[in-house]
Amino acid sequence: MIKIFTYTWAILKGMAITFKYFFIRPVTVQYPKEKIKISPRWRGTLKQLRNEQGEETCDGCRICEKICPVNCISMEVYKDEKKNRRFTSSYTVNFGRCMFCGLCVEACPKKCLVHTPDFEFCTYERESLILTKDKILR
Amino acid sequence: MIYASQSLGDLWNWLLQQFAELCGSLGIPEVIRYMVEKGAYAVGLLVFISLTALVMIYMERKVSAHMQLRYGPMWTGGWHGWSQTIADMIKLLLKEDIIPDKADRWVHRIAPIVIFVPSLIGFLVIPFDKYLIGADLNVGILLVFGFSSIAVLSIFMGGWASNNKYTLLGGLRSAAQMISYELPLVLSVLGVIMTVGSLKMSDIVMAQKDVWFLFTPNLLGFIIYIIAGTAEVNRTPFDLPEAESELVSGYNTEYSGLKYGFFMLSEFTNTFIISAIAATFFMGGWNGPSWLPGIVSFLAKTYLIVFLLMWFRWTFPRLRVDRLMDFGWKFLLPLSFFNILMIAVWVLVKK
Amino acid sequence: MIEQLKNSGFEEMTLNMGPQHPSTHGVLHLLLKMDGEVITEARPDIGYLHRGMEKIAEKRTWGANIALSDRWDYIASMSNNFAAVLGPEKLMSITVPKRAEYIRVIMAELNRIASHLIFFGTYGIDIGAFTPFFYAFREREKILDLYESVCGARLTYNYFRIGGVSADLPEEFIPGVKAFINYFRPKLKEYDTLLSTNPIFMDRTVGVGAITKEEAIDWALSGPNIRASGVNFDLRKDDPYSVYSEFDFNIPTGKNGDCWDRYMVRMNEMKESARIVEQALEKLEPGDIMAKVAKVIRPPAGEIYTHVEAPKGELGVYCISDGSTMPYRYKVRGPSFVNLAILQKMLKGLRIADVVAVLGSIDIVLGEVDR
Ligand code: SF4
Ligand code: SF4
Repeated sequence: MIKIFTYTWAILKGMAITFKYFFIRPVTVQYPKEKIKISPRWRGTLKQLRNEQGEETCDGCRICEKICPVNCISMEVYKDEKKNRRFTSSYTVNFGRCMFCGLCVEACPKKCLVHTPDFEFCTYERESLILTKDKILR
Repeated sequence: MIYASQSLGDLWNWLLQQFAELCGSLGIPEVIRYMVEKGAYAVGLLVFISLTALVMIYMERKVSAHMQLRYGPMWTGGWHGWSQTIADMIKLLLKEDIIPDKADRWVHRIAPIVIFVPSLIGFLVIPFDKYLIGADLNVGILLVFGFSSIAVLSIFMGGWASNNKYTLLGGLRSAAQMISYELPLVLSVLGVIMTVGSLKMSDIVMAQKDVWFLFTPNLLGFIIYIIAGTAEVNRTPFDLPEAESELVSGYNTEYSGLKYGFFMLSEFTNTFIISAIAATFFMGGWNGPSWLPGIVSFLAKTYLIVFLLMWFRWTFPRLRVDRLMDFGWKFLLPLSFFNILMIAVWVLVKK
Repeated sequence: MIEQLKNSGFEEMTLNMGPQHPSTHGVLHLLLKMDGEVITEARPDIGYLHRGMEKIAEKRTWGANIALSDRWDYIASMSNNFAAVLGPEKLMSITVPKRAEYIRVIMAELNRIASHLIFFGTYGIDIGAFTPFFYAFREREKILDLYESVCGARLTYNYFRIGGVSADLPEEFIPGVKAFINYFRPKLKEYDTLLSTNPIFMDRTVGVGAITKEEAIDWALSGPNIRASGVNFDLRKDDPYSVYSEFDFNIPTGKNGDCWDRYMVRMNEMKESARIVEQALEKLEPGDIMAKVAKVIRPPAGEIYTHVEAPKGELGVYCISDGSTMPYRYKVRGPSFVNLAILQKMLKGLRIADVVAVLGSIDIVLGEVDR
């Protein structure tokens, strides 16, 4: 008999909790309409920065290429004799493979490779996930 | 006259009278008049059933969503996703109707119909309002329970014919469950029938003009009824036949398209019938404050029970098969016998 | 009787549970032989999620393997990171700065809470209660937000580095964690009313799938599973790595080793984890977060086995270095894999409804089982 009462009581208490939440504002967000704020450290797609003069900072040191665990960065480098430094003639990141581990950004000695807070880059073709230099250098 | 009528029931009654007068003056035979009347009611009922199903599915979604801190459907149709269910229905209609290769095609096809028809018939004897009852039979409640037992057959047919081990297990489970919970269900209602002394739905409602049976010793019967009723319509905590985490989707795993839609629809109509009977038997049916149309107070009570069932569903875990049987046979059944005994004594004392 | 029936043409039913089944927690395939609803034989069939992690690891640098480790037990990546960095650190005898150690502990313990929250939620679903799942995920989301503010990812953190951690804590992190802990404690009570003490839930779990002390040791269980059987085995106490010896916390243990005990051990562990996080926050002092380590490391040749107490149990990494930039051999001892083995013993004689209750209570992640 006592068992029945304790059981019923436990059941009623459980029901009270769900009933309480029935009136609490939901915590989910209506995604495409409203978006949650993402942290500034968010590891999204990659981009290369220019310096204040609007020049490329990346000097093609290939460190990011080497450190990437899934080999998704590839580049071609040439040496500009006039400016006495190297430039990349092409710089491609294959976001179909990238796992956004952030190792390349961490390793870049020029601090010119950064993550963007962009996380919506779905496409219909795989080719468009391969970003070339003109899209990465922003 | 129409303006004076307070409720849908009176309106319906007035219409019937007008129609009878018209028939009398035109000399239309009684049989045809009767058929037209009942046909009109049936059509109205069908519309009501489809609307009810839509409303209930939407309600289930919203209730579950808000209990789980979600919004549920919000987009389809504009305001709070009201047309999501309609869209889903259209999707179900357009889906390919798959019959498994080794299934018993005939039984597989017929099972959804078998489950749907009894739940339609159940609606016939539900007294929505004073005159708003399809057939005020003198065995009213018996009809509902009699036909709802057919649902077991259909679930078993569906489970067996699909030729899938999960559906088979689901079918077997539900057969065992529904048969064992039918007993307490009927016995719990028996208390009310004993108090009233009639099986007729309208009599039972009329008997509660002053005080609902909920507030008499029949309360115990009500509790038993709700528990057994939850089991009867296979809702959590008794949703073993379609236990998702164990049996994928139970007896309807292999169904798709319209046939699956029938199973789903019948689940909701059955829930509605169980709630409607609870409202009729224990909460006074269409009786209510005089300013409220009878049908409104009836529907309000019914949906209150529906909400209760949904509330159960989104709070509790699921029982285990053997425990379910134990609970049904060793606890609920003796309790309902005790309930009958108690009511009998009460009725005697009252006399 | 049963023999007679069998001879007269009745046969056992073979039920393939999974790999596509709502409650096998991924792609586990269970081969069940059943007599009615009672199981006579159970065989877990694994390998559907095999990704060749250990072989991949041999062709990646030591640092890159941390990113790989995120994918073993993908709901407790921080603990995996922990296991992945300890080995090379020991081989190279790097001393990790104090601040980094505390940050690591905070992260690992928060991850333990997050992982157990997922267990709580999915276990509720296994038993048939859907709603707790959403409550658990709401709390977990808060932890993920904290992680996001630190390392920029929500699932595959890749936060630990050999010699420290990749980034210092942002300003809002410490108040955020404190607020979370204060918010989380009362929620645990709510869970208890919702599930732990719910009669139906207890009915499903108490006494189901019991493992005795001896069995648990014989089958090399670890983590909450062995503690539920009453064996007080926790690497944080028994072989303290990092700075765990500095903290004051209890090891919750169970008595009977049944599903409910395993469940309760996890629930209590969340409380203890919250305590550890609080202590670690107090001890946190400004300082370095990285030891002086070269970008590309070459640990001296040798072999080492390091293990951490991951949310699922003892997560060990055995690595052999040949002095190059990549490990020569990288063996992972996944706790889920070892814990899963006992399933075939536990399931015998239970009903099909208990399969999910038992399977859920072991708390496996298929990513770690198959690797
Ligand atoms: S984020 Fe990781 S995977 Fe992506 S390009 Fe950088 S190093 Fe490679
Ligand atoms: S590491 Fe930085 S500087 Fe070097 S190639 Fe990559 S982006 Fe350019």
